[in-house]
Amino acid sequence: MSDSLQSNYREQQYDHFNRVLLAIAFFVLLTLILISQLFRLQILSGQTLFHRSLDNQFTFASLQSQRGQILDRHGEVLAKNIPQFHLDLFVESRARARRALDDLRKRIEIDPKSLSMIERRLDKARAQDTLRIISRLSSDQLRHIYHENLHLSPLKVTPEFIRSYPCGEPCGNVTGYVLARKLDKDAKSDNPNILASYSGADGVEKSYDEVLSGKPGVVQLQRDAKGKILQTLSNIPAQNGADIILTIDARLQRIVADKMKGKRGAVVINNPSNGEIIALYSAPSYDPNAFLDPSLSSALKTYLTSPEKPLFNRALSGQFPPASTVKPFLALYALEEKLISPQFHIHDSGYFRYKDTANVYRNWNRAGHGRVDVQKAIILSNDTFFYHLALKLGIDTMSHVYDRYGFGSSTGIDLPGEKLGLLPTRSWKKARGQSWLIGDTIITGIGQGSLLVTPIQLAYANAIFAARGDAFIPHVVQSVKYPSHKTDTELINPTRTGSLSYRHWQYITKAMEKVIVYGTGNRFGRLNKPFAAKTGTAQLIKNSGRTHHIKKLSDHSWFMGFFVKEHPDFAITVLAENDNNAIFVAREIINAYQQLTSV
Amino acid sequence: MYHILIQSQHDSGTQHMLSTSKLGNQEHVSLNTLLCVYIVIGMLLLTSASEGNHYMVIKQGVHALLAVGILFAVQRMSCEHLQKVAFIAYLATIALLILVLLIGHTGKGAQRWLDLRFIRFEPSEIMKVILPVTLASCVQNQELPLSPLALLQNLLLVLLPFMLIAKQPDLGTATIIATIGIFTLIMAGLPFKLIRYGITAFVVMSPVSWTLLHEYQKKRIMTLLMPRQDVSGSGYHIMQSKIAIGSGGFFGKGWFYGTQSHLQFLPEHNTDFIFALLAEEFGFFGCCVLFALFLWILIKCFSYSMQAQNHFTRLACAGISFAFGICTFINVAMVTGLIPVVGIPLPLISYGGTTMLITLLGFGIINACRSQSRLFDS
Repeated sequence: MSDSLQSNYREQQYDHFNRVLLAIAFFVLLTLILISQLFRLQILSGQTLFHRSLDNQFTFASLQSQRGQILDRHGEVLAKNIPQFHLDLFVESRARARRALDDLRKRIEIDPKSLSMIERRLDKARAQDTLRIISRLSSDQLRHIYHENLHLSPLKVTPEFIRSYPCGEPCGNVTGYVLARKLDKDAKSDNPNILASYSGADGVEKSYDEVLSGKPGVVQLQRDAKGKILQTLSNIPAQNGADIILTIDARLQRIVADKMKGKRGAVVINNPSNGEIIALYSAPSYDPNAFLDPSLSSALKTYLTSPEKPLFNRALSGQFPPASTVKPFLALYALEEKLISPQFHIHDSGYFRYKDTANVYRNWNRAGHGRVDVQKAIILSNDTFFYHLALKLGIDTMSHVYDRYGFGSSTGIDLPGEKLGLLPTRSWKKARGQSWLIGDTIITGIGQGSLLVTPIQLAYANAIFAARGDAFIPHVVQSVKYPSHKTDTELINPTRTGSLSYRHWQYITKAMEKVIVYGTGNRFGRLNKPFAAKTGTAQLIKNSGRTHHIKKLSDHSWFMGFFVKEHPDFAITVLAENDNNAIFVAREIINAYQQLTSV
Repeated sequence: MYHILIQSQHDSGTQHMLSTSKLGNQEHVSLNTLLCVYIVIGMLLLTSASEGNHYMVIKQGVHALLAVGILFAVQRMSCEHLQKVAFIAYLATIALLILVLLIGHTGKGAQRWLDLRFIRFEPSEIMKVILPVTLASCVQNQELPLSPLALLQNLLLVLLPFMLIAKQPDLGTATIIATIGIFTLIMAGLPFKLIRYGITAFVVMSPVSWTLLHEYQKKRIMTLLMPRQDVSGSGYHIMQSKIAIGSGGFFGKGWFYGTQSHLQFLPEHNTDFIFALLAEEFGFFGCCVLFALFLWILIKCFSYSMQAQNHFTRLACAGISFAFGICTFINVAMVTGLIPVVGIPLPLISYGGTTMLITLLGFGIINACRSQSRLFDS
C-alpha cells in the first residue's frame, strides 16, 4: 500500500516536473516570438518606422506667395488677391469631429446642402484630416465666429488669398483665369497649412504664370496628435510674384464688350507703331471670377456647356477666311513690283471667265462695276479685278505676299492658344494629294478658298500695312514690376522691318480712306480724321465650289481700319460671326473711344 | 497523506529535485527583489508616460506600496489557510461578477460596459489569480488522476466565471481566464491524449463554425474580442503603436524622448500600450532586458512549482505564473500587432491599481507556497 502510494506520488511529481518544463519551454517560445517581432519592427524596419514617426510629428506648411497683380495701361487693377477666411474642422477622431459638428450646427448656420456633403466627407475622413466647413466666410459670419469662440480647437479659421478680377467679363479674354491647385505631393493631403497655389489657365495668367506666381515658402512645423502646432523649425519665406502692367486699356475693353453684346466675334485694337494691343475681345466672353467663386458656379456651368463656347478665344483661335480684307495687300504688292501700273484697268461685266472655260467667277455685284482700276477695285471691293490680278500674280507670289503679312504663322502674341490659320500653297495642296488648280489661285485672290486667318493675324497684317511695313510683334504686356526691383523692367519689342513703297502705299491708302466715304464701307460714315478701312465678307462655303452649304446662316463680316498718320497709333480689326454689322460695331467703338479720349 | 510527504524527503528518486530546491534556498536574488526591479521599471516608464502628471505617478506608487504590503502579508500565510480561504474568495468574486452584471443591466445599458473601466475591470482581474488557486485547492482534495466527475466539477468552476465575464461582454478577458483555468487543470495531470483531442477538436471546429456564422455575428464576436476599440479605429492605433516601437531602433530615443507617446500619437500610452513607450524610449535593448527579467521571474515561479510538495502548492504556483506570463505575452503581442487589440494591461507595468494589487497578491501566494516547500526541506 505504502509502496504503491509512494510510486504513484513519485510518478505524479515526475509528470508534473515534465509539464512545468513544457510550460517553461512554451513561454520561452512565446518570448522568442515577441523578440523576433520586435527585431522585425525595431531593427529591420527601424529606419522606415523612425521616418514614419518623424512624418507624424513634422508637417510642412506652404507659405502662400502673393500672386502678382495685373494692371492695365492706366494702372487700373484687372487681377488682384483678396483675403478670404474659411472655417475648418480638424478631425482628431471621427466621433469627436461629429460631436464638434453637432455642437457647431447649433451655434452657426450651415447650409443644409453643404452640411450633408460635410457629413459624407466625415464618414470617409481619417484621423488628422481637416474638413472645410464653410468656405469664404462673410464678415458677419467671421464676427459671429470670433464672438462665439468658434475659432478654437478643433475648429480653425484659415485665411487664404483668393484671386479676384475686378474688371470681370470685359477683360476675361486678356487676363485669363487661374485654377486653384495643390502641388502633386500635397494633392491628397487635406492639410490646411498647405495652401493651394494658383496656376494660370488662360490669358496673361497662363502665359506669364511663372512671373506672376513667385515662389511659395515652406515652414516646417512640429505638431502633436491633436494637430496642435508645437514649434516652427525652419522657414523659407515666400517670394511674391511680379506685377504685370498691360498695354490693354480697360476702358476700351468695356466699350468693346458693350458694343459686342449679343454678338459672336472678335475685336482687336492695336497700335501699329509698337505692336501694343490696346483691346482684345472675343464675344461672348466670360467672367474669370466664375472659376474661383462658388457663388458663380451657375455661370461657370454655362461657360462649359454653352454652344457659343465663351471659353474659346475667337480672337486668337478662331480661323476664318479673310475675304476682301486682303485686297489692299495684293494690290500694293502688284504696284510695288510693277506687275500692274496705277493706270491698269479692266472692264467688269459682273463676272470673270477663265480662258473661255465653263468656270465663271462672279463679282459680288452681279451687274458689274464697268471700268475698274486699282483704287476703284479697293473702294468697291471689286472681285473681278482681283480675279485678274490673282492670275497675274500666281499662287506662289500671293502666298509670298500673305506670308509677309504674317498669315499662316504665329504672330508671337504673348497670349496662349494662338492658332496659325491656313496659308495655302502648291506644296500644301500637294501634300494633301491634290494638285493646285487655277481656280484655287483665282479665289485665293479674293481671300477665299482654303485661306484662313485668325482675327489677331488680320489685326497684325492691318498693323503692318498701317505702319508701312514695319512689323511689331503684337503683345499685351507692357512691363513687369518685380517686387525686388525698384524700377519696372520694360519688355523689348522685337521688330521685323520691311518697307512698302511710300508712293504706292499712299495710293492704296487713299482708296481705303474712300471705302468709308462712298465705297463698301459707306455705312460707316465720315470721321474727322483720315481713316483708312477695308471691309470683308467671309462667305460660308458658298463660293468655295462645294455644293452643299448652310443657307440659314449669314456670312461673317470683317472690318479692318486705321487712322492714317505718320506714326499710326490706332488700328482696329472686327470680326462679326454670321453677322454683317462688323462695320457698325467698329464705328460705335471708335465713337465711344473718341468721346473717352477727348474728355 | 501527510506521511507520504514526509517519506518523500528520504526518497532517492527525487534527489535531483531536492538539489534544485537546495539551490533555491541559497538563491542570490530573491523573487521579491526581481519583482521590485520590475515594478521600478514600470514606475520609470510611467514617469515618462505621465508627462509631468505627478499625481498619476504618486498614485501608482501608492498602489505599488499597498500591493507590496499585500505581498508580504500573504506570503506569511500558511498554505492550509490559503487553501481554505480560496473557495470563499472564489465565491465572493463570482458574487462580484454577478453584481457587476446586475448593475450593468439596471444601469446605463450594455454600451456603458465598454467604457466603464472600473466596474468591468475589477472582478475579472481578481479572477485571474483566484481561479487557479481555487482549482488548486479543489484538486488537493481530489484523487489524482482526476476522475471524470471531478474533472467536470473543475471545468464548471472555470466555465462559471467565463460565462459571467463573456456576458459583460468581454470575450477577450473571459477567454484568457478560461485559458488560465484549463492550464491549471492540465498541470493537475490531465492526460495528454485528452488535451490533444481537445486541441484538435478546437482547431477543426473553429474555422467551420466561423464560416457558419453570419456577418453580423462575426462582427459581434470581433467586438466582443476587442471591447475597447471600435474595429475601424484600432487599425490606426496599432499602426501608431508599431511606429512607436519601430522608431525606437536598437537603443531607443532615450527616457522622456519618445515622440510618439509624448505627442499623443500613441493611444493609451500609460496603460495598455505602455510597452510601446518602453520600446520607443529604450529600444530593442530595453525590451530584451525586460523580457530577460520577465523570463527570470517566470522560470523562478515555475521552478517553485516543480519544488512544491503537494498538489495545491504545485498548481497554485503554476497557475498564477501562467496567468502572469500569458497576460504579459498577450499584451505585448497586441501592442506589437501580432494579435488583434484585446484590452489586457501589462502586469506590474501598466498604470492601474487593481492589476498591481492582484498580481502581487498572486506572487504573495507563490511565496507562501514556496515557504511551505522550504519548511519541508529543512
